[in-house]
Amino acid sequence: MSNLFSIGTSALLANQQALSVTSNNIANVNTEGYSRQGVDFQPRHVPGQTLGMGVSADDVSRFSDPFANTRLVQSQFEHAALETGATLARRLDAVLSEEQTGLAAPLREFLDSVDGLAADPSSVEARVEVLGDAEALAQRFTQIQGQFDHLNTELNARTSGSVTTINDLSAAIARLNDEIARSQAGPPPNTLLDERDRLINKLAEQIDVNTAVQNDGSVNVFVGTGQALVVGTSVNPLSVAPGATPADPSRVLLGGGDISNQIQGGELGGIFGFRADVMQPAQQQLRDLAQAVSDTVNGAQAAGHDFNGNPGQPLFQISSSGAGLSVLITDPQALAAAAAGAPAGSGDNSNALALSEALRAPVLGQNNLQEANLSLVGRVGTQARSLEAAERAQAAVVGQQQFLRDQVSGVNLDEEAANLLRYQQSYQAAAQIIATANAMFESLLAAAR
Amino acid sequence: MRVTQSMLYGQTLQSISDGQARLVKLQDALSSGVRLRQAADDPGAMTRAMRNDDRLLQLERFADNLRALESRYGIMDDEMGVVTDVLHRARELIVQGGNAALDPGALQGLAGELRILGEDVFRIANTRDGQGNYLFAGNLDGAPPFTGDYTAASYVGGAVARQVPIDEFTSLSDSLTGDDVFQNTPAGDLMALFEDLAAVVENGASATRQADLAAGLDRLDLALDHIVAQRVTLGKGLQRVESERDRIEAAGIQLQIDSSALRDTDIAEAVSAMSQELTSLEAARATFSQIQGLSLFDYLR
Repeated sequence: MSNLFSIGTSALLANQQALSVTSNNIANVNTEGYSRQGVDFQPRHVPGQTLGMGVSADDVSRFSDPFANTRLVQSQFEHAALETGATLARRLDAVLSEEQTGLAAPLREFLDSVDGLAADPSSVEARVEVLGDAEALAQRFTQIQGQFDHLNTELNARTSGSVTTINDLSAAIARLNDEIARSQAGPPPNTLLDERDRLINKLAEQIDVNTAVQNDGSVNVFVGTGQALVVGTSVNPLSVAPGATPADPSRVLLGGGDISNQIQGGELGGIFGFRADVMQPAQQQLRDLAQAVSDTVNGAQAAGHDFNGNPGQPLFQISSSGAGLSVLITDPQALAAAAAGAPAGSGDNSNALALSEALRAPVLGQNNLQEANLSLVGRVGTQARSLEAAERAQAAVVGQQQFLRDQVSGVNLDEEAANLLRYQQSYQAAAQIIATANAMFESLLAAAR
Repeated sequence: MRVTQSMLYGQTLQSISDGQARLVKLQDALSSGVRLRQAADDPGAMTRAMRNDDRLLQLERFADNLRALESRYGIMDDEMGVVTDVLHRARELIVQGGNAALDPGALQGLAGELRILGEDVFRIANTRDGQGNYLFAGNLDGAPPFTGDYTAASYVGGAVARQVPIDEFTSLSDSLTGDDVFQNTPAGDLMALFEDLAAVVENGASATRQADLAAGLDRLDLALDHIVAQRVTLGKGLQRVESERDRIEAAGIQLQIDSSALRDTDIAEAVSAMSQELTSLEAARATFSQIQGLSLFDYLR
């Protein structure tokens, strides 16, 4: 009889526990990073007895596949890097390729006004136009250089922000490691484990992350090519080394060593990848282009005579930063349209023709100035496009990995509804055991009366 | 496969938002008429369109140059037409001067008119074009090409004319230089010729008068032939200019068609793509609410 009460009570308690776990699953259906939980029913028995002693449901297990989680994290940091890179490349591409911001239009106009000067070298208007277009071209070079500087400053700020986030997350993960390690003896700390997985996912938005679970349940976190960020309860914080000027790229240090080039994933990986693969080559091409414009025009100036009969002076000057240009000539008559030795007032256009030809001749490898600019535009455009394509593909991979993770860890409300029904019925049945035991007890008492 | 709530929400929302992104892009392409905004949208097409822009501006410049050449050749031809008239008038005067009945006063009058004609030619040789540049001064057209006077003019203009490009490979001289037109001729210096003729005409007593007058007529004929030959050169230049202009215009139209195909929205295509997107977006929305409406909880009452 007491057996029946005991079995009935254990069943009541176990199903109550199961109902709580189910309710908790339902409650957390929209909680990010929540792993659904389940009750492990265990038959109770007393050693040496054939008959069991009911059921226990002390262990609440967490549905989680560490491999699925790892693959999700990996797909996430790869995606974050591509997304950052693609967004930045598209912005740079807009600067270089749009009519209002790129080099193509002012370069085209400058070449055209040089052609205009060649057609009518005695015309003051033609000369003024050349100077005006030279100024516009120089300004455009300087503006694009300014855009690069802006971008670098912004990327430096984002690097600092990202490093702060990473350090905060690392510290939080180390604290969770501590708590998880200390609760090893007791029931599994499901909520803490979920929280730690969530933080690692957050970390993957910033940087490439690899994890290794230790025997005590703590997780070591490595970044880049294996630099330890969190070891057990201790954190190696990242730091930022600023460049020489605010517009120079800052670097990320770990334990005093520069790990910027090792970072491949997350926003940081995207930033450093964009800088190395897209921005710096583009900046170099732009510098080469500015130098070529200046050399070509100044070379032609030096080879001719201006309208006052004097040898031509340099028209352009490269700014100290490398890609900015400034115009040195203000007097339209100082443009050397005429051949060397031509007298003042000469309507000779042979030097202007030579300049026009030189501006369209190959100066950078096989490319003339306009082609060199188009190759810059085409390269950055292609990079932006392929980064975008890679980002879309990787987004699909993240979706797939999220799908696989959710297959294991996500909550399905229909499933929980069925469980609710099932455990409720079991609970009612268990209550019936108590009622039966009670009835039996009553009939026994009645028999004794 | 276990399907979970977040999977249902996430996937459907993702496909709805992807569809909306594509719609926004199509809408922008339709309302602006521009398909290509930046190179990343289609790098090959963008650089090709930019190359077309470069080329188009250069073609416009060539067209401008051709217009300027046409105008200059036209003005020069007009001026040389006047020279032809002058030479014809001189011829009439010489023929009149051969009339033995004329008295010295009349001969003096004829000689005077010949000298005026010489001055006319000298003035024509120093004519300016609409821009104020001297027509017959070659590439030194900022100052009068002939100094002195018609009896002893010296050429101080450029030895060569300016070369004006009409395509990447070809340049045309924008003028005939004054020395070639007026001085280096089979008839000698065309301006000094008039003084020579005037001297012959007014010298009624010369024993070789008829022979001198005949020689003068021969020189005038040579001069006329020379000017006609120069005008033929100009005429050929004008023809060349016109045919080049047609060619450049055609090339420009081709480039514009090409650029438009690269840059502009294909309206029909965009509209049909848009209605397709709208249909699938509607379908996604409808199925979303249907799938979300399904719940076992609805049956647990």
